[in-house]
Amino acid sequence: MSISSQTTDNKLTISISGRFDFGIHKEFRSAIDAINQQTVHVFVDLRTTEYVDSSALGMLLLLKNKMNDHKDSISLINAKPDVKKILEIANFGQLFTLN
Amino acid sequence: MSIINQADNSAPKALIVDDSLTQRLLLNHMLDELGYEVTAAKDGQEAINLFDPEQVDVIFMDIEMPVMDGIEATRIIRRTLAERFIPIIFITGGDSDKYLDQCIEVGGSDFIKKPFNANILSAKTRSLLKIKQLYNEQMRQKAEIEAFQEQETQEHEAAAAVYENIVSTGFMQSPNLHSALSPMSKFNGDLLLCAYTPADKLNVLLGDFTGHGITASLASAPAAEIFYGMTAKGFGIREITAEINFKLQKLLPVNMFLAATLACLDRENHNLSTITCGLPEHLLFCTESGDIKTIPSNNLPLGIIDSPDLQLIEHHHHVRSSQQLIMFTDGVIETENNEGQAFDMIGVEDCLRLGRESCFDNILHALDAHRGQQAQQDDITLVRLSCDFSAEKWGLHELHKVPVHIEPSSWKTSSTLDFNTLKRLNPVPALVNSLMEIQGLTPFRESIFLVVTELFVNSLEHGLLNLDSSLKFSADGFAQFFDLKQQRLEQLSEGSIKLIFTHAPYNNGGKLTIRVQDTGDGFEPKNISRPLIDNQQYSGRGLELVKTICDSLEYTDCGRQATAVFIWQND
Repeated sequence: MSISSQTTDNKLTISISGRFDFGIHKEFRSAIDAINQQTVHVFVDLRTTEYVDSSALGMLLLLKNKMNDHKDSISLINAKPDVKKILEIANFGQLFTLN
Repeated sequence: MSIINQADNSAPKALIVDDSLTQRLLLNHMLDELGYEVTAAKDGQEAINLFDPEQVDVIFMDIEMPVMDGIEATRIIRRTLAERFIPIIFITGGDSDKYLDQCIEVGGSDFIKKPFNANILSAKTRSLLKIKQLYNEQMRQKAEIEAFQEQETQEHEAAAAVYENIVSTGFMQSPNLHSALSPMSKFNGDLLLCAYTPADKLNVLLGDFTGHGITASLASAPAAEIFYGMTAKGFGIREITAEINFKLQKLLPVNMFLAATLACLDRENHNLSTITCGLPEHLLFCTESGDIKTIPSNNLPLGIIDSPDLQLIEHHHHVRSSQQLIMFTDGVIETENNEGQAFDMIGVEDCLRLGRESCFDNILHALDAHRGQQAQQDDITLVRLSCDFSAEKWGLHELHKVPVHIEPSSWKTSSTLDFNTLKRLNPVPALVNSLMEIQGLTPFRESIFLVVTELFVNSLEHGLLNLDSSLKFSADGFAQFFDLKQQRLEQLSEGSIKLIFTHAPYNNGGKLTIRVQDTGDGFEPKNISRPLIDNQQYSGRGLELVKTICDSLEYTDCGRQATAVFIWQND
């Protein structure tokens, strides 16, 4: 399983390991299906993510859309330098909280 | 007892081939009991004569018969059927066991031993008919898939041709632009567009859609149309970028976007402007000194957020003829070698330093060598925009002019733009377009566009914004000038610019008077102009160019009013 997710105190954490690309879009979609009215924040944990491609960025946009486009409600956390670089090239700091 | 579940519920049909009348009658009777419609033949030859693949579901075949034996008849029937399947059950008994291998070889499906047992006969035919049904179903599906694939290939080819036309119509070959594109499929997720504005600036767009193939290419069409349409009308890359973003945001699904860079090369000001939106950093490389300046991505990719929320950051680079802008999509730096290592930015920079003049080819060769036996993983586009401004190279492009003849007439039109409007838009393209329509001045469009642009920009920069041209003398000052312009424009809280166009018939053509007035503090036109002949600087040429194009140029009211007269003749 390259995606695992859990909800604690209405905060959803999605952890992605290995390649974050089109190959896991089904898993990712079902992970964000857990978002509901009560969800106050989503953490995407990239600690063990090795690679991110443009369809992964697209999936993050789907997530954002699902959280009604609130910038402050989604944090991309623990990204390795290579992964962080891709997020920065796309200037995703304007759309998500990066740390 | 009816036993067979045929797909169409009709009785299954059996063909009995046996030279013994007793055997034929016995088997006929048993199959009749099981619900079959039966036909019979007395030898192989008669069976072949009788055989109609549409009318037979299962064949019972004796082995030893006169005229033609069962083995030969089966061989012929199987050949006739080609890919279709009808079970053939050999009737065995006595010493016919020695033929078993041959029976299988020619395509026998099963055996039934004399004397016949009704239960075994029923079970065998049932299971063979089931197999026939599955086999035929599979054949039908296979044919369907093949037809579908054929249709898809054709549609794909047609769509690829349409895509190619959309993207290449309006594409102008520029001696300043070199590119290498290697699409992964017929459609390219990467997009390269290039066109000249009426004021002779070169606009370039390099883009990379999310994903590959047809989905990625679909949105290329509107992007290309906006790019070419707006460039031809003289809009700047900021307006074009905002418009493409606006359109794509409406058009694309949430998870799709266009990573792109728009660049504008302005020969007159030796300026390269860039708006970078999500592509890997570009390199501004000097072939003389080997210096490399990196240009990072400053903006979100296009098509993600609403245009009003889009705060586009544009950079201005003061460039020399020896400089080249090297741009590429992520396929280049992500190309992996056998060990899974990416080519990365260091690979590109090494090639540049090593190659100087031939750096472009070097990158391509190095990329090939790096990839080795690995299959290509992504669309790869590599672009080199040379800042070489030498006139003979630059002037090569041809403009498409469609002259419309309208009798010269007398008219006057004017527009006043207040400070709020000036903050938001560049009015020159729209105004010049309206002149083209009133008087059919299309053949002189470039010249008129240049004059109006120069006079308008001077009124704005020096009249209303009080900017000092001498800033542009140094490379640092150059960037500072543009920053300051942006800053003062945003802070502008009063003032306006009025453009007045007067036209009258004159000799064999007409006389167009262009007057530009501003409400600023006035400026000394001499300070912003120096003779073309010994101008080694990168600014101050605008008004001199206007003088060479126009029949007269005059500044009055302490620089607040400029009047240029442009006389045109019919051929």
